[in-house]
Amino acid sequence: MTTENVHPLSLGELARTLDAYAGPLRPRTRLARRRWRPWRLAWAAAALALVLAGAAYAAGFNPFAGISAADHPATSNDSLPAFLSADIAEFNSTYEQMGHGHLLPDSARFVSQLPSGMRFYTIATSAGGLCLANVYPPGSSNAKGGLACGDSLSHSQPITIEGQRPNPDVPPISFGLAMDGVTAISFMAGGVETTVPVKDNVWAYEGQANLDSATVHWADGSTQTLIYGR
Amino acid sequence: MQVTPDIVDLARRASAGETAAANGLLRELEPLVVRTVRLVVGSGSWAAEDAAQDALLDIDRGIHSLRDPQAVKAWALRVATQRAIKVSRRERLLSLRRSPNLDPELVTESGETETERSAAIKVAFDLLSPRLRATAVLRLHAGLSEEETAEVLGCSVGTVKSNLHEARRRLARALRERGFEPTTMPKEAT
Repeated sequence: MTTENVHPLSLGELARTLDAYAGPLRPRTRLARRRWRPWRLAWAAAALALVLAGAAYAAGFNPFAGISAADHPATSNDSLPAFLSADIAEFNSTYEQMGHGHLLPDSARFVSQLPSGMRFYTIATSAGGLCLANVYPPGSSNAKGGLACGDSLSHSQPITIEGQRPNPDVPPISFGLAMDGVTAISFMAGGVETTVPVKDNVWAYEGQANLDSATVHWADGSTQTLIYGR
Repeated sequence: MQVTPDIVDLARRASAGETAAANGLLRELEPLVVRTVRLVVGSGSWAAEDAAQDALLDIDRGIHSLRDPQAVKAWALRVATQRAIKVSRRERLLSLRRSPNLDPELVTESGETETERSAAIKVAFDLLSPRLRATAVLRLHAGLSEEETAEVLGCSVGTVKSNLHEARRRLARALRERGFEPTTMPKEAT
């Protein structure tokens, strides 16, 4: 006798879906760091770095160096949304355990806002690191925001690249910080070279983009190609 | 879990310190480890790719501690799953309010044969807790038995059963909320 069971999701369908999303047999690799990855540090090294960097921060080290949009006295416009403050508190316990210090909410500075309403804030860490928080406008999606942390910007790594897709109903968005002097970022999107401007140290692109490599356009007319690869 | 004699031999030699055997063992284990870690962390993100590489490094570094070469796959999955769960917890906190930190280009790759329904399952799956995800991946993707899954996760068989049931219940609820109809199918053992 065949017994039938009505369920919105069979184990077989779930297994097939997992297989479909399991991806290639080998991990994709990057030739250069694409996302900030401070957790790469070994525990011992991280503990030492925390002490040294903490002292450096206390002595005036500025993780916002090269980010003019963040270099201003605190105003009410810099206040983080309540949900973000609450989640940073939760995040800090884990981040500190990893030996990377903790985020300093009072250091938060608003840097830019997209036409869509998405707002960006930079936040310093006690270990001299830098975080970028993005906050979606109310009601725009089922997400409220995101947070990524890592090293501060440098001329060898003048931009950061992040990608989010809050749900399948909205297109993905790529965005990141760009240090002073970077005027635009170019990359391939839909088979076409696409250039997006940098405004207030932030660049953003809504849609599918191939960011295996990106070209940084500097104000003096020079360009710098960053290969991220796989 | 089936383990081929070749991989057992590689594991035995690798645990004894033979570099060539360790490299060969990693090549054998790589597909299983990479895909398992990727699914637990959340495919479509660089965090998952990085975690997969880190898991392979963990296995390489820890191979000398392998006691039973016959159990090398279960051991590798345990090491990899521990890494994946750790990264998943961190990513969950990083992606505040569960906004997945997906990379558009990776999403495009994995979505070539994507249907609206499978996309909904994927999104809901990535919102499960790391332990629930790991349980489902080990049982349904890696093909471990309930006993093997329990051993890898360091929990009881009962916990494996309840985790899988809970994962499926939450996924079903997410599908219902998105308007997907139930399907009729032969009864399955859970």
